Amino acid sequence: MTKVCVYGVTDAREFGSPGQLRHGGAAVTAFPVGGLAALVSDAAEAEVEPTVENVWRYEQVLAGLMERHAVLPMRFGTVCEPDRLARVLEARRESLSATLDRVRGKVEIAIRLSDAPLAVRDPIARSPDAGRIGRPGTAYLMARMGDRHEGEAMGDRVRPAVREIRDRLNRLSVETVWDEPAEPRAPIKASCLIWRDSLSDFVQAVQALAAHHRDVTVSCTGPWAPYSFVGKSVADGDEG
Amino acid sequence: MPLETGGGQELAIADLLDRALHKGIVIWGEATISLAGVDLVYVGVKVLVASVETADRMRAASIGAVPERSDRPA
Repeated sequence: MTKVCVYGVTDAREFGSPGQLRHGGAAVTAFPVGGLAALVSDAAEAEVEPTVENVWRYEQVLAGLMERHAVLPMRFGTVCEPDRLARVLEARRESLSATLDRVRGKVEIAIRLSDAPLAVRDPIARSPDAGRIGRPGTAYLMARMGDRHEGEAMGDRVRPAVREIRDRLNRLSVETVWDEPAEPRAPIKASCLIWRDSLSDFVQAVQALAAHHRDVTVSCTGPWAPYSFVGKSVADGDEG
Repeated sequence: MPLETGGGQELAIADLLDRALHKGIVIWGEATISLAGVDLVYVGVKVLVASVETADRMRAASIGAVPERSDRPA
């Protein structure tokens, strides 16, 4: 049986004209089950190698559908037999429908807070061993290990400001998931679920927070599919 | 293009990878390119790397040689 690449789940029964949504060379179509439908493409044609380009295209598929419908994103690279997919959707129809209602009309915004400049730093330039280590991954990991010894976690100096920013973001969002950093000096990350209609106001509020608290660097990206708000795994046999 | 404020496109890509590769619905027990729990690191905007071990797992999963049982997301 031909497997399908699964992008997400929606309660829309059709996604517009055939071929409107594409993931590279693969046409994305509806796979209806009950009142739900999965966005799928032929796995043989889908670009599921985990490169930045493919993940970006994957997101564009979801973004295209999210303009008109509520969507629950699957993790990138989910490949499944259609029969299995149908059983999963049928078995979890109620919980998936409830989650669709939860995210309908909303988008996810990614926030990072740090007491240092936020950037995806060039590890090769930063590593003292960059000249003799040819593998960028090794250099990057060494640079990250060095970071662990550079200082303490986000310090007392900015703690009140971070607390105020967190409180404000919690109030601005419908829901917020905070990801506490495991490493010293790593940024605090948040996923904010906001109404799509309030996106502009939310961004302005974040910019105002960043301008007011100059000791804290704030980044804001999105809108993303609601990856952080779709719950646990789904299965046709046990509760995820 | 998604909005980016205070970060730039590299951060936007890092935020996307954080989500698409680690979050979202997982069909429990199904073969996926699951990277749950893997310490992915990002270099620039073009190259996605991991430790040698996880890079090997990614490569195997991407070509379907070793279908991997996916972990439940955190």
